[in-house]
Amino acid sequence: MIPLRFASIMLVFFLLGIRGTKHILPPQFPFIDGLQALSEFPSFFLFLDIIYWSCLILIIIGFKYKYAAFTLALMIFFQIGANSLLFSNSFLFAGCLLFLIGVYQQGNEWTFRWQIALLYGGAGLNKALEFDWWNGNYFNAFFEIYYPNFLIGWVSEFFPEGSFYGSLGIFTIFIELGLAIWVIANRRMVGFFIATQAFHLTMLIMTLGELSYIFYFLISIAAYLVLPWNEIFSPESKNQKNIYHDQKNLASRRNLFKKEIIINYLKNPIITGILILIISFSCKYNHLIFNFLERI
Amino acid sequence: MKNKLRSIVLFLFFGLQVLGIVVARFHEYRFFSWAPFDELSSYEIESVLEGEKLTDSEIRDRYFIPAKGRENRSINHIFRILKKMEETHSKKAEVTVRYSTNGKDEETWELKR
Repeated sequence: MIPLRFASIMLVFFLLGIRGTKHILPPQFPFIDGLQALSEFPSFFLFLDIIYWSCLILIIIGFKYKYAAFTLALMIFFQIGANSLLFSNSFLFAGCLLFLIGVYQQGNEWTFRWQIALLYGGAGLNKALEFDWWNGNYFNAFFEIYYPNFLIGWVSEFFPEGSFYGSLGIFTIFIELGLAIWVIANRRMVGFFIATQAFHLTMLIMTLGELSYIFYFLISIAAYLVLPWNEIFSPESKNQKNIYHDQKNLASRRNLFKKEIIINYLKNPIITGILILIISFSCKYNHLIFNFLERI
Repeated sequence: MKNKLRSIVLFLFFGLQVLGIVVARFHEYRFFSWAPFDELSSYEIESVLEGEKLTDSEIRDRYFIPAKGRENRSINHIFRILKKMEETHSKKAEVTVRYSTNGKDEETWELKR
């Protein structure tokens, strides 16, 4: 029931459109030294390229896409293991999602929740143990040196002097750890999806699209997978309109109406996918958009 | 049997990730620990080979990273690349990195021989 094919197609968009991974590259600074010997066999990497592109095509056309996703995941893990220069958390997370899609069987929805929990939990824990995230040094450097923008200057005026960047760091730590616990608890997963969208979109807005559209993209896919699909497609959900019309209490009717809108939006992966793609690619090419707006 | 194998694979899959997060606490590197954008470091590499200072493009060709740049996980990743790259060359260069992490005071790292 969960939209595995949608997720795998979106991950193909990630690999080709966002990351631009068109080839499996020979080893360089491998994490496993023995893999360096493979660079003596260039035809092996040509073979891997054929497998790589075959998997991408199989996912797009929807034929044996789970096997293709699993194979792609192994290739990503191999690529990272063989070439530490290509290591990135986003690339690895994409590989993990593809792996879990590949090994998925009904009843294993928990695997996607655990994967999200490990990502947020690991990120939150790493930040919680770095003092620069508590004292504001990280965000001070982030917004004053690396990604200065007018929006942050405006927002910081609403905070007591010297407290904004520290508050932002602490807020981020608790949000990430909170999301890790929330997804494990498996309660109100529609709310979880909305919360991840709010968190990552807020980051994107505050950094004017710089940080991090890649993780916004990947987390959107992962959070979409952990929605309560059994409930969304349950007979009770189909009868929602009848319940709505039967409700006499105005507040209850409004809540049901909002829930219906959200559920109808979420039921359609094409709409969700297009929105995620628009937001992500707008951020990727934000400099073109800003240039265009300046000309206007 | 198939279900048991799947369970073992999933256990190992998640177990390795938990191990990565724990090991990162005791290690200078931030690979496989789910630490994206953990710290921000700007760096500048200076490399002197046989008495001659390498240009930015020569540094890029030698180490496969820009001579000046930014590292979003751990500055130790840059040091690792420089160490490993120098090991592969017969002629060793004297490498110095000036860097600043999270906007703090500039520090210097030198490749020890």
